Amino acid sequence: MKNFKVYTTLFVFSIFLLLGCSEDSVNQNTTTSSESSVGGGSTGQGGSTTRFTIANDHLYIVTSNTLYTYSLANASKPEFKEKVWLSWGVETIFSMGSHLFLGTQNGVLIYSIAEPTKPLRVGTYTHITSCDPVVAAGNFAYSTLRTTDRCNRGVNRLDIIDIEDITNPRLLHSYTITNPQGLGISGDYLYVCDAGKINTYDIRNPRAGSSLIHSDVLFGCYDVIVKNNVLIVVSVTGVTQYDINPANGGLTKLSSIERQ
Amino acid sequence: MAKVCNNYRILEEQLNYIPNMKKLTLCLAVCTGILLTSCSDNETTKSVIGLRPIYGTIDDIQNFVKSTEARELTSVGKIYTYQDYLFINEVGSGLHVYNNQDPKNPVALKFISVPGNVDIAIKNQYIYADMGSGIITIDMSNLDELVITDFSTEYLEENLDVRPPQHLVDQLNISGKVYFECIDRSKGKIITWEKQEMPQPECYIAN
Repeated sequence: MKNFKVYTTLFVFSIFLLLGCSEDSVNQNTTTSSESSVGGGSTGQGGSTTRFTIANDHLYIVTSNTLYTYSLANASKPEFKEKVWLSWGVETIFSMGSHLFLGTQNGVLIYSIAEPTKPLRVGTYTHITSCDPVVAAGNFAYSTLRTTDRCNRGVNRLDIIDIEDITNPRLLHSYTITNPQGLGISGDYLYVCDAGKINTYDIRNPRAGSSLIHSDVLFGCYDVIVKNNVLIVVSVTGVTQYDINPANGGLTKLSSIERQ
Repeated sequence: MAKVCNNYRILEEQLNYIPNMKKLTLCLAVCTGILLTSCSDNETTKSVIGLRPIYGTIDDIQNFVKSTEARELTSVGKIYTYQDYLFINEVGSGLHVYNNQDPKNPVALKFISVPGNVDIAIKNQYIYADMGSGIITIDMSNLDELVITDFSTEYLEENLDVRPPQHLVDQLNISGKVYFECIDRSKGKIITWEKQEMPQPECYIAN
Protein backbone atom coordinates (compact mmCIF):
# COMPACT_ATOMS: atom_id res chain seq x y z
CA MET A 1 0.00 0.00 0.00
CA LYS A 2 2.81 2.34 0.92
CA ASN A 3 4.56 1.55 -2.36
CA PHE A 4 1.39 2.23 -4.25
CA LYS A 5 1.18 5.67 -2.69
CA VAL A 6 4.78 6.41 -3.59
CA TYR A 7 4.26 5.35 -7.20
CA THR A 8 1.07 7.39 -7.50
CA THR A 9 2.87 10.44 -6.14
CA LEU A 10 5.77 9.88 -8.54
CA PHE A 11 3.35 9.43 -11.44
CA VAL A 12 1.49 12.65 -10.65
CA PHE A 13 4.77 14.45 -10.17
CA SER A 14 6.08 13.21 -13.56
CA ILE A 15 2.95 14.45 -15.31
CA PHE A 16 3.46 17.78 -13.58
CA LEU A 17 7.07 17.82 -14.79
CA LEU A 18 6.10 16.94 -18.34
CA LEU A 19 3.46 19.67 -18.43
CA GLY A 20 5.96 22.10 -16.99
CA CYS A 21 8.45 21.19 -19.70
CA SER A 22 6.19 21.89 -22.62
CA GLU A 23 5.10 25.17 -21.10
CA ASP A 24 8.58 26.35 -20.42
CA SER A 25 9.98 25.57 -23.85
CA VAL A 26 8.35 28.81 -24.98
CA ASN A 27 10.31 30.86 -22.48
CA GLN A 28 13.64 29.18 -23.04
CA ASN A 29 16.80 30.44 -24.65
CA THR A 30 17.43 33.49 -22.57
CA THR A 31 21.09 32.73 -23.07
CA THR A 32 21.83 33.61 -26.63
CA SER A 33 24.88 31.41 -26.77
CA SER A 34 22.47 28.49 -26.95
CA GLU A 35 21.93 26.50 -30.08
CA SER A 36 20.23 28.52 -32.77
CA SER A 37 18.94 28.16 -36.27
CA VAL A 38 18.29 31.80 -37.03
CA GLY A 39 20.55 33.82 -39.29
CA GLY A 40 23.41 31.99 -40.95
CA GLY A 41 22.15 28.43 -40.58
CA SER A 42 22.09 26.12 -37.58
CA THR A 43 24.89 26.17 -35.04
CA GLY A 44 25.59 24.05 -32.01
CA GLN A 45 26.26 24.88 -28.38
CA GLY A 46 29.21 24.27 -26.09
CA GLY A 47 29.71 24.44 -22.36
CA SER A 48 31.07 27.43 -20.45
CA THR A 49 34.65 26.13 -20.55
CA THR A 50 34.79 26.11 -24.35
CA ARG A 51 37.45 28.02 -26.29
CA PHE A 52 35.32 28.03 -29.48
CA THR A 53 32.13 29.92 -30.20
CA ILE A 54 30.11 30.77 -33.28
CA ALA A 55 28.44 34.18 -33.35
CA ASN A 56 27.14 36.34 -36.19
CA ASP A 57 28.29 33.76 -38.72
CA HIS A 58 31.88 33.88 -37.48
CA LEU A 59 33.95 31.39 -35.56
CA TYR A 60 35.85 32.88 -32.62
CA ILE A 61 38.64 30.92 -30.96
CA VAL A 62 40.72 31.86 -27.95
CA THR A 63 44.12 30.52 -27.03
CA SER A 64 45.82 31.57 -23.80
CA ASN A 65 46.63 35.00 -25.25
CA THR A 66 45.03 35.44 -28.69
CA LEU A 67 41.56 35.77 -30.22
CA TYR A 68 41.22 34.32 -33.73
CA THR A 69 38.35 35.26 -36.04
CA TYR A 70 37.18 33.17 -39.00
CA SER A 71 34.34 34.01 -41.36
CA LEU A 72 31.89 31.14 -41.91
CA ALA A 73 30.23 32.71 -44.95
CA ASN A 74 31.23 29.48 -46.65
CA ALA A 75 30.76 26.96 -43.84
CA SER A 76 32.90 24.31 -45.54
CA LYS A 77 35.91 26.64 -45.73
CA PRO A 78 36.39 28.94 -42.75
CA GLU A 79 38.21 32.05 -43.88
CA PHE A 80 40.78 33.48 -41.49
CA LYS A 81 40.12 37.16 -40.85
CA GLU A 82 41.78 38.50 -37.78
CA LYS A 83 44.10 37.72 -34.90
CA VAL A 84 43.88 39.93 -31.80
CA TRP A 85 46.40 39.88 -28.97
CA LEU A 86 44.51 39.75 -25.65
CA SER A 87 46.49 39.37 -22.44
CA TRP A 88 47.73 36.32 -20.60
CA GLY A 89 45.68 33.52 -19.08
CA VAL A 90 42.64 33.52 -21.37
CA GLU A 91 40.63 30.34 -20.84
CA THR A 92 37.05 30.54 -22.09
CA ILE A 93 34.76 32.33 -24.56
CA PHE A 94 31.00 32.99 -24.42
CA SER A 95 28.91 34.97 -26.87
CA MET A 96 25.73 36.94 -26.28
CA GLY A 97 24.27 39.03 -29.05
CA SER A 98 27.03 41.19 -30.47
CA HIS A 99 29.40 40.65 -27.54
CA LEU A 100 32.02 38.12 -26.58
CA PHE A 101 32.83 37.45 -22.93
CA LEU A 102 36.28 36.03 -22.35
CA GLY A 103 37.06 34.34 -19.06
CA THR A 104 40.68 34.98 -18.13
CA GLN A 105 42.77 34.33 -15.08
CA ASN A 106 42.45 37.93 -13.93
CA GLY A 107 38.98 38.91 -15.02
CA VAL A 108 36.40 39.06 -17.75
CA LEU A 109 37.15 40.82 -21.05
CA ILE A 110 34.19 42.02 -23.09
CA TYR A 111 34.57 42.47 -26.86
CA SER A 112 32.08 43.98 -29.24
CA ILE A 113 31.65 42.05 -32.49
CA ALA A 114 29.26 44.58 -34.01
CA GLU A 115 31.81 44.49 -36.80
CA PRO A 116 32.38 40.72 -36.76
CA THR A 117 35.86 40.70 -38.27
CA LYS A 118 37.12 43.47 -36.00
CA PRO A 119 36.55 42.43 -32.37
CA LEU A 120 36.91 45.50 -30.20
CA ARG A 121 37.51 45.57 -26.44
CA VAL A 122 34.68 47.53 -24.82
CA GLY A 123 34.71 46.44 -21.20
CA THR A 124 36.89 44.78 -18.58
CA TYR A 125 35.97 43.34 -15.22
CA THR A 126 39.08 42.67 -13.18
CA HIS A 127 39.38 40.35 -10.23
CA ILE A 128 42.05 38.59 -8.23
CA THR A 129 43.98 35.89 -10.12
CA SER A 130 41.80 32.78 -10.37
CA CYS A 131 40.65 30.33 -13.01
CA ASP A 132 37.20 31.18 -14.30
CA PRO A 133 34.58 30.74 -17.00
CA VAL A 134 31.84 33.31 -17.58
CA VAL A 135 28.27 33.19 -18.92
CA ALA A 136 25.72 35.97 -19.39
CA ALA A 137 22.00 36.56 -19.84
CA GLY A 138 20.31 39.92 -20.31
CA ASN A 139 21.91 42.57 -18.09
CA PHE A 140 23.92 40.17 -15.97
CA ALA A 141 27.05 38.08 -16.26
CA TYR A 142 27.98 35.23 -13.93
CA SER A 143 31.55 34.21 -13.40
CA THR A 144 33.09 31.55 -11.22
CA LEU A 145 36.54 31.96 -9.76
CA ARG A 146 38.48 29.08 -8.33
CA THR A 147 41.88 28.13 -7.10
CA THR A 148 43.86 25.43 -8.87
CA ASP A 149 47.48 24.43 -8.91
CA ARG A 150 48.02 27.05 -11.60
CA CYS A 151 45.89 29.73 -9.95
CA ASN A 152 47.00 28.91 -6.45
CA ARG A 153 46.66 32.38 -5.01
CA GLY A 154 43.09 32.65 -6.17
CA VAL A 155 39.75 32.55 -4.45
CA ASN A 156 36.68 30.33 -4.75
CA ARG A 157 33.56 32.29 -5.44
CA LEU A 158 30.64 33.09 -7.72
CA ASP A 159 30.46 36.70 -8.93
CA ILE A 160 27.34 38.34 -10.30
CA ILE A 161 28.23 41.25 -12.55
CA ASP A 162 25.95 44.04 -13.76
CA ILE A 163 26.57 44.51 -17.50
CA GLU A 164 23.68 46.84 -18.27
CA ASP A 165 26.37 49.34 -19.19
CA ILE A 166 28.66 46.94 -20.99
CA THR A 167 31.54 49.40 -20.99
CA ASN A 168 31.44 49.54 -17.21
CA PRO A 169 30.83 46.08 -15.72
CA ARG A 170 30.18 46.32 -11.98
CA LEU A 171 30.27 43.63 -9.32
CA LEU A 172 26.85 43.20 -7.69
CA HIS A 173 27.33 40.19 -5.46
CA SER A 174 30.06 37.76 -4.65
CA TYR A 175 29.43 34.42 -2.97
CA THR A 176 32.21 32.32 -1.51
CA ILE A 177 31.78 28.67 -2.49
CA THR A 178 34.00 25.58 -2.43
CA ASN A 179 35.75 25.11 -5.80
CA PRO A 180 33.48 26.18 -8.65
CA GLN A 181 34.00 25.39 -12.34
CA GLY A 182 31.61 25.46 -15.32
CA LEU A 183 28.19 27.06 -15.17
CA GLY A 184 25.05 27.54 -17.26
CA ILE A 185 21.74 29.41 -17.27
CA SER A 186 18.24 28.04 -17.73
CA GLY A 187 15.72 30.86 -17.48
CA ASP A 188 15.37 31.71 -13.77
CA TYR A 189 18.09 29.29 -12.68
CA LEU A 190 21.83 29.22 -12.70
CA TYR A 191 23.64 25.87 -12.44
CA VAL A 192 27.19 25.82 -11.13
CA CYS A 193 29.55 22.83 -10.82
CA ASP A 194 31.12 23.18 -7.41
CA ALA A 195 33.40 20.58 -5.85
CA GLY A 196 31.45 17.45 -6.71
CA LYS A 197 28.03 19.10 -6.61
CA ILE A 198 25.69 20.87 -9.00
CA ASN A 199 24.43 23.99 -7.24
CA THR A 200 21.18 25.59 -8.39
CA TYR A 201 20.78 29.33 -7.82
CA ASP A 202 17.62 31.36 -8.16
CA ILE A 203 18.48 34.29 -10.47
CA ARG A 204 15.05 35.87 -10.84
CA ASN A 205 16.35 39.08 -9.32
CA PRO A 206 20.14 39.18 -9.64
CA ARG A 207 20.34 42.76 -8.38
CA ALA A 208 18.87 41.70 -5.06
CA GLY A 209 21.10 38.61 -4.95
CA SER A 210 20.87 34.92 -5.71
CA SER A 211 20.07 32.20 -3.26
CA LEU A 212 21.29 28.64 -3.42
CA ILE A 213 18.14 26.57 -3.68
CA HIS A 214 19.34 23.03 -4.50
CA SER A 215 22.53 21.07 -4.44
CA ASP A 216 22.84 17.72 -6.24
CA VAL A 217 25.84 15.45 -5.79
CA LEU A 218 27.84 14.68 -8.94
CA PHE A 219 31.44 13.62 -8.42
CA GLY A 220 33.98 15.57 -10.48
CA CYS A 221 31.36 17.80 -12.12
CA TYR A 222 33.09 20.45 -14.27
CA ASP A 223 30.81 21.87 -16.93
CA VAL A 224 27.19 22.06 -18.07
CA ILE A 225 25.10 22.74 -21.17
CA VAL A 226 21.46 23.77 -20.87
CA LYS A 227 19.44 22.52 -23.81
CA ASN A 228 15.68 23.06 -23.73
CA ASN A 229 14.78 21.64 -20.33
CA VAL A 230 17.72 19.29 -20.08
CA LEU A 231 20.89 19.95 -18.13
CA ILE A 232 23.81 18.05 -19.67
CA VAL A 233 26.60 17.79 -17.14
CA VAL A 234 30.11 16.58 -17.81
CA SER A 235 32.22 15.20 -14.99
CA VAL A 236 35.52 13.34 -14.84
CA THR A 237 33.57 10.08 -14.88
CA GLY A 238 31.25 10.80 -17.80
CA VAL A 239 28.15 12.69 -18.88
CA THR A 240 24.95 12.81 -16.85
CA GLN A 241 21.70 14.36 -18.05
CA TYR A 242 18.96 15.82 -15.90
CA ASP A 243 15.48 17.04 -16.50
CA ILE A 244 15.01 20.58 -15.19
CA ASN A 245 11.79 21.27 -13.31
CA PRO A 246 10.86 24.75 -14.58
CA ALA A 247 8.76 25.38 -11.47
CA ASN A 248 11.66 25.25 -9.04
CA GLY A 249 14.84 24.44 -10.99
CA GLY A 250 15.00 20.97 -9.43
CA LEU A 251 16.90 18.23 -11.25
CA THR A 252 15.77 14.68 -12.03
CA LYS A 253 18.39 12.34 -13.46
CA LEU A 254 17.57 11.01 -16.91
CA SER A 255 20.67 9.05 -17.93
CA SER A 256 24.41 8.80 -17.64
CA ILE A 257 27.21 7.78 -19.96
CA GLU A 258 29.98 6.38 -17.78
CA ARG A 259 33.70 6.33 -18.37
CA GLN A 260 35.32 2.92 -18.90
CA MET B 1 62.82 -1.38 -16.98
CA ALA B 2 65.89 0.46 -18.22
CA LYS B 3 67.69 -0.21 -14.95
CA VAL B 4 67.15 -3.96 -15.03
CA CYS B 5 68.41 -4.17 -18.60
CA ASN B 6 71.45 -2.05 -17.83
CA ASN B 7 72.32 -4.33 -14.94
CA TYR B 8 72.14 -7.22 -17.32
CA ARG B 9 74.66 -5.61 -19.65
CA ILE B 10 77.06 -4.98 -16.78
CA LEU B 11 76.65 -8.57 -15.65
CA GLU B 12 77.42 -9.80 -19.13
CA GLU B 13 80.59 -7.70 -19.34
CA GLN B 14 81.81 -8.97 -15.99
CA LEU B 15 81.16 -12.59 -16.93
CA ASN B 16 83.24 -12.25 -20.08
CA TYR B 17 86.40 -12.02 -17.94
CA ILE B 18 85.84 -15.40 -16.26
CA PRO B 19 87.08 -18.67 -17.90
CA ASN B 20 85.03 -21.81 -18.46
CA MET B 21 82.91 -20.20 -21.11
CA LYS B 22 80.57 -23.09 -21.79
CA LYS B 23 79.10 -23.17 -18.30
CA LEU B 24 78.78 -19.47 -18.32
CA THR B 25 77.02 -19.36 -21.67
CA LEU B 26 74.41 -21.70 -20.26
CA CYS B 27 74.04 -19.60 -17.13
CA LEU B 28 73.84 -16.49 -19.26
CA ALA B 29 71.06 -17.99 -21.36
CA VAL B 30 69.05 -18.78 -18.22
CA CYS B 31 69.74 -15.33 -16.78
CA THR B 32 68.73 -13.69 -20.04
CA GLY B 33 65.46 -15.59 -19.94
CA ILE B 34 64.71 -14.41 -16.42
CA LEU B 35 65.76 -10.85 -17.09
CA LEU B 36 63.79 -10.56 -20.30
CA THR B 37 60.68 -11.77 -18.53
CA SER B 38 61.13 -9.14 -15.89
CA CYS B 39 61.67 -6.48 -18.55
CA SER B 40 58.44 -7.20 -20.38
CA ASP B 41 56.60 -7.54 -17.07
CA ASN B 42 57.69 -4.08 -16.11
CA GLU B 43 56.60 -2.72 -19.43
CA THR B 44 53.04 -3.89 -19.07
CA THR B 45 52.61 -2.86 -15.46
CA LYS B 46 54.02 0.64 -15.95
CA SER B 47 51.63 1.66 -18.69
CA VAL B 48 50.34 5.24 -18.42
CA ILE B 49 47.98 7.60 -20.26
CA GLY B 50 50.31 10.08 -21.90
CA LEU B 51 50.77 12.35 -24.88
CA ARG B 52 52.55 11.26 -28.02
CA PRO B 53 53.98 13.68 -30.58
CA ILE B 54 52.79 13.11 -34.14
CA TYR B 55 55.45 13.98 -36.70
CA GLY B 56 54.79 14.92 -40.26
CA THR B 57 53.72 17.69 -42.55
CA ILE B 58 50.46 19.58 -42.81
CA ASP B 59 49.44 17.26 -45.65
CA ASP B 60 49.67 14.23 -43.36
CA ILE B 61 47.35 15.63 -40.74
CA GLN B 62 44.17 15.03 -42.72
CA ASN B 63 44.94 11.32 -42.90
CA PHE B 64 44.57 10.99 -39.14
CA VAL B 65 40.96 12.18 -39.12
CA LYS B 66 38.53 9.32 -39.61
CA SER B 67 35.28 7.80 -38.49
CA THR B 68 35.57 4.59 -36.46
CA GLU B 69 33.34 2.37 -34.35
CA ALA B 70 31.91 3.87 -31.16
CA ARG B 71 34.17 3.24 -28.18
CA GLU B 72 34.20 3.68 -24.41
CA LEU B 73 35.02 7.03 -22.82
CA THR B 74 38.38 7.10 -21.07
CA SER B 75 39.58 10.71 -20.63
CA VAL B 76 36.37 12.71 -20.60
CA GLY B 77 36.76 16.17 -22.13
CA LYS B 78 34.39 18.95 -23.12
CA ILE B 79 30.85 18.48 -24.41
CA TYR B 80 28.98 20.02 -27.34
CA THR B 81 25.44 19.68 -28.68
CA TYR B 82 24.27 20.11 -32.24
CA GLN B 83 20.68 19.32 -33.19
CA ASP B 84 20.05 15.85 -31.73
CA TYR B 85 23.74 15.02 -31.50
CA LEU B 86 25.82 15.05 -28.35
CA PHE B 87 29.60 15.19 -28.77
CA ILE B 88 31.95 14.20 -25.96
CA ASN B 89 35.60 15.00 -26.47
CA GLU B 90 38.07 12.22 -25.76
CA VAL B 91 40.90 14.48 -24.61
CA GLY B 92 43.62 14.70 -27.22
CA SER B 93 42.24 11.98 -29.49
CA GLY B 94 38.81 12.76 -30.86
CA LEU B 95 35.04 12.86 -30.51
CA HIS B 96 32.46 10.39 -29.25
CA VAL B 97 29.25 11.02 -31.19
CA TYR B 98 25.88 10.17 -29.61
CA ASN B 99 22.33 10.39 -30.84
CA ASN B 100 20.75 12.30 -27.96
CA GLN B 101 17.26 12.70 -29.35
CA ASP B 102 16.03 10.97 -26.18
CA PRO B 103 18.19 12.27 -23.30
CA LYS B 104 16.98 9.32 -21.24
CA ASN B 105 18.73 7.02 -23.67
CA PRO B 106 21.69 8.52 -25.56
CA VAL B 107 22.89 6.10 -28.26
CA ALA B 108 26.59 5.84 -29.18
CA LEU B 109 27.00 6.25 -32.94
CA LYS B 110 30.66 6.73 -33.84
CA PHE B 111 34.06 7.83 -32.71
CA ILE B 112 35.77 10.44 -34.86
CA SER B 113 39.51 10.35 -34.38
CA VAL B 114 41.05 13.83 -34.32
CA PRO B 115 44.51 13.71 -32.72
CA GLY B 116 45.21 16.59 -30.35
CA ASN B 117 41.58 17.69 -30.24
CA VAL B 118 40.06 19.48 -27.24
CA ASP B 119 37.46 21.92 -28.61
CA ILE B 120 34.90 21.97 -31.40
CA ALA B 121 32.12 24.12 -32.82
CA ILE B 122 29.56 23.11 -35.47
CA LYS B 123 27.64 24.96 -38.15
CA ASN B 124 25.43 23.40 -40.85
CA GLN B 125 26.91 19.89 -40.46
CA TYR B 126 30.48 21.21 -40.52
CA ILE B 127 32.60 20.44 -37.48
CA TYR B 128 35.47 22.84 -36.73
CA ALA B 129 37.97 21.00 -34.57
CA ASP B 130 41.31 22.08 -33.23
CA MET B 131 44.46 20.08 -33.71
CA GLY B 132 47.85 21.23 -32.55
CA SER B 133 48.80 23.04 -35.71
CA GLY B 134 45.47 24.16 -37.07
CA ILE B 135 41.72 23.89 -37.42
CA ILE B 136 40.24 21.05 -39.41
CA THR B 137 36.78 21.27 -41.01
CA ILE B 138 34.85 18.01 -41.20
CA ASP B 139 31.65 17.51 -43.17
CA MET B 140 29.59 15.19 -40.92
CA SER B 141 26.61 14.78 -43.29
CA ASN B 142 27.54 11.10 -43.55
CA LEU B 143 29.05 9.93 -40.27
CA ASP B 144 30.36 6.76 -41.91
CA GLU B 145 32.31 8.66 -44.51
CA LEU B 146 33.58 11.95 -43.21
CA VAL B 147 34.86 14.47 -45.71
CA ILE B 148 37.62 16.89 -44.75
CA THR B 149 36.78 20.13 -46.50
CA ASP B 150 39.43 22.43 -45.10
CA PHE B 151 42.50 22.67 -42.96
CA SER B 152 43.70 26.09 -41.89
CA THR B 153 46.94 26.78 -40.12
CA GLU B 154 46.57 30.37 -38.94
CA TYR B 155 45.63 29.01 -35.55
CA LEU B 156 48.67 27.37 -34.05
CA GLU B 157 49.54 26.25 -30.57
CA GLU B 158 52.71 27.88 -29.39
CA ASN B 159 55.65 25.69 -28.41
CA LEU B 160 54.04 22.71 -30.11
CA ASP B 161 57.50 21.52 -31.13
CA VAL B 162 58.87 21.74 -27.61
CA ARG B 163 56.15 20.30 -25.38
CA PRO B 164 52.44 19.32 -25.47
CA PRO B 165 50.07 22.34 -25.41
CA GLN B 166 49.13 23.43 -21.88
CA HIS B 167 45.36 23.34 -22.50
CA LEU B 168 45.69 19.71 -23.55
CA VAL B 169 47.78 18.87 -20.49
CA ASP B 170 45.23 20.58 -18.22
CA GLN B 171 42.29 18.85 -19.84
CA LEU B 172 43.73 15.40 -19.11
CA ASN B 173 42.76 16.02 -15.50
CA ILE B 174 45.77 14.23 -14.12
CA SER B 175 47.18 15.73 -10.98
CA GLY B 176 50.93 15.44 -10.67
CA LYS B 177 53.03 14.18 -13.58
CA VAL B 178 51.62 14.22 -17.10
CA TYR B 179 53.84 11.93 -19.16
CA PHE B 180 54.69 12.46 -22.80
CA GLU B 181 56.79 10.48 -25.27
CA CYS B 182 60.14 12.28 -25.44
CA ILE B 183 60.67 14.35 -28.57
CA ASP B 184 62.91 12.86 -31.25
CA ARG B 185 64.01 15.69 -33.54
CA SER B 186 65.24 13.25 -36.17
CA LYS B 187 61.63 12.24 -36.85
CA GLY B 188 60.77 15.69 -38.20
CA LYS B 189 58.30 18.39 -37.32
CA ILE B 190 55.59 17.85 -34.70
CA ILE B 191 52.11 18.59 -36.07
CA THR B 192 50.07 17.62 -33.03
CA TRP B 193 50.03 15.64 -29.79
CA GLU B 194 47.77 12.67 -29.27
CA LYS B 195 46.61 11.10 -26.04
CA GLN B 196 47.56 7.43 -25.87
CA GLU B 197 48.21 4.62 -23.48
CA MET B 198 51.99 4.01 -23.50
CA PRO B 199 54.80 2.46 -21.50
CA GLN B 200 55.75 5.11 -18.94
CA PRO B 201 58.14 7.45 -20.79
CA GLU B 202 60.98 9.39 -19.20
CA CYS B 203 59.59 12.81 -20.14
CA TYR B 204 56.82 14.44 -18.17
CA ILE B 205 55.36 17.79 -17.18
CA ALA B 206 54.75 18.43 -13.50
CA ASN B 207 51.19 19.75 -13.76
